[in-house]
Amino acid sequence: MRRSVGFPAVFVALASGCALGPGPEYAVYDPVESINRRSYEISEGLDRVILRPLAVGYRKVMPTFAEAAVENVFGNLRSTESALSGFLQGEPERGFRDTGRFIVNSTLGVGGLLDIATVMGLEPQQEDLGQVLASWGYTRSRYLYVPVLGPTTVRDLPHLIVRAGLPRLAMHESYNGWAGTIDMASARAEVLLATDVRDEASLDPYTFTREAFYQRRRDAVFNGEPPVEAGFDLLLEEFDEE
Amino acid sequence: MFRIVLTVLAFELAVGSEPEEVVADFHHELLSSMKSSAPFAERYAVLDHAVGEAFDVLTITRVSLGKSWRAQSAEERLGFRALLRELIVATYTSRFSSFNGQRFETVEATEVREGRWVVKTHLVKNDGGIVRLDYYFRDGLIFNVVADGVSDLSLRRSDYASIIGSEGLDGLRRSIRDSIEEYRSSDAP
Repeated sequence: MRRSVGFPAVFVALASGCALGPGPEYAVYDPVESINRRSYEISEGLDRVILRPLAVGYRKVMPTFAEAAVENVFGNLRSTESALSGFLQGEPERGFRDTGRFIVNSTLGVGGLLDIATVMGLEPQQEDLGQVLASWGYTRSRYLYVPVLGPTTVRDLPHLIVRAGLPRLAMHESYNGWAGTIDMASARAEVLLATDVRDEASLDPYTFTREAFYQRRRDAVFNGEPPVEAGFDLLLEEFDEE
Repeated sequence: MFRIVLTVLAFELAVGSEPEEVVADFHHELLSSMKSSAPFAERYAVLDHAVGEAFDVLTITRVSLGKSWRAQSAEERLGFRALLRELIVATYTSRFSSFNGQRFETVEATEVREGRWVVKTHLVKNDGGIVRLDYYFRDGLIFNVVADGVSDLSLRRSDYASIIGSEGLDGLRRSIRDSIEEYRSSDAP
C-alpha cells in the first residue's frame, strides 16, 4: 500500500521534470532556489551540530580496516543498483562487471566485508538510475536540495531513494538504528574532505555545491570522459566575442 | 658543437614550452612545496612564480567575473587580476602543504583545436587512489583545472556571480581577501 502512494508521486515528479522546455544539457536549473536555499541552510545547521561531529568521531574511533569494511558492506549492497543501471544504459559489460563484483564480494568477500573483486581486477563502477535516465535523453533537470540527504535533481531522485533504501531492503530487521547510524556516519565521513574543501574555497557554499553537483553528475554520465570541446565553448564563448 | 647546442637551446626558448612540459614543471613545483617544511611565505613565493609561468590569470579573471568584467576600468581589472593571482597561489600553497607519497602522472595531451590543449593527469595518492586533474590550455597557458570532472573556473564563475549579485563587486573583493587571509592563517604555526 505504501508503494502505491510512493511510485505515482515519483512518476509525477519525473514527468514534470521531463516536461522542461529546451535548454542547455546538464546545465544548472534551479527555479525554486529560495526553497532549496532554505533546505540547504536547515541541512547545514543539522550537519554542523549532528552529522559532521558524528563523522569526525566515527573516523577517529574506527580503525582504518574497520572503516573500509563498513564502506565495503554498504557499497556492496548498493552495487546492485550500479549493475542494473549498467544494463539499462545498454552497457552490458558494465552490468556484468558489477554483477560479478556483487557475487564475488558477497561470497569470497564474506558478505561484502572484503573487496576481493577489486583485487581480482573488477574495479568498482558508479552507475545509477539518474545516469540511466540521462542516457535515455533526460539531460536537463530541476535542482533539488533534499534536507539531510543533500543535493539532487528531479531526474536523480530515484537514485537517491534507491541508494537510501537498498540496505534496508537487503538487511531487513538487521538494518536497525545502529546500522543506520553507522551507514550515515560512514557516508558522511566519505565526503568530509570534499565538504571541508568547499567550506574553505567557496564564497557562497550553496551555489558552489549546486554547480559542483551538476558537474559531477555530467562527469558520471560520461563515465569520467565528458566531451572536452564543450568545456572550451562554454567558458570562452563570452570571452571570444570581445 | 657548442654553437649547435646554443642554437638548439635558442630554438627551444623561442618556441616556448609544450603544454605537457608546462604541467610537468608546475607539478614539480607543487611536489617541492609539499615536501618542503618551509613556512607559508617561502612556499608562497615559489608557487607564485610557478603560477605566473603556467597560468593565464587574465583569462581566469575575465571569465570568472563574467559580464561584470566589461564594466571595470583598466585599473580595476588589474586589481582583480592581482587579487585572483594571490588567491590561486594562496590556495595551492595551503592545499599542497604536506607530502604522503603522492605522485603526479601525465596521461595524455590533446590539441582540441589550434592553440587549445587539454593535458590529462592523475594525482596518485599513497593508497593508490586517483584524483583526475585535467589542465585546459589557451595559447600556451592554463586557464582552467578540472578535478574529477569539476571545473575550477566554472565553480569560480558561479560563486562570484552569486556574490556580485548579492553584495556587488566590493563585496566580492572583500570575500576574496578574507579567503586569502584564511589560507594564510590556517597555515600559521
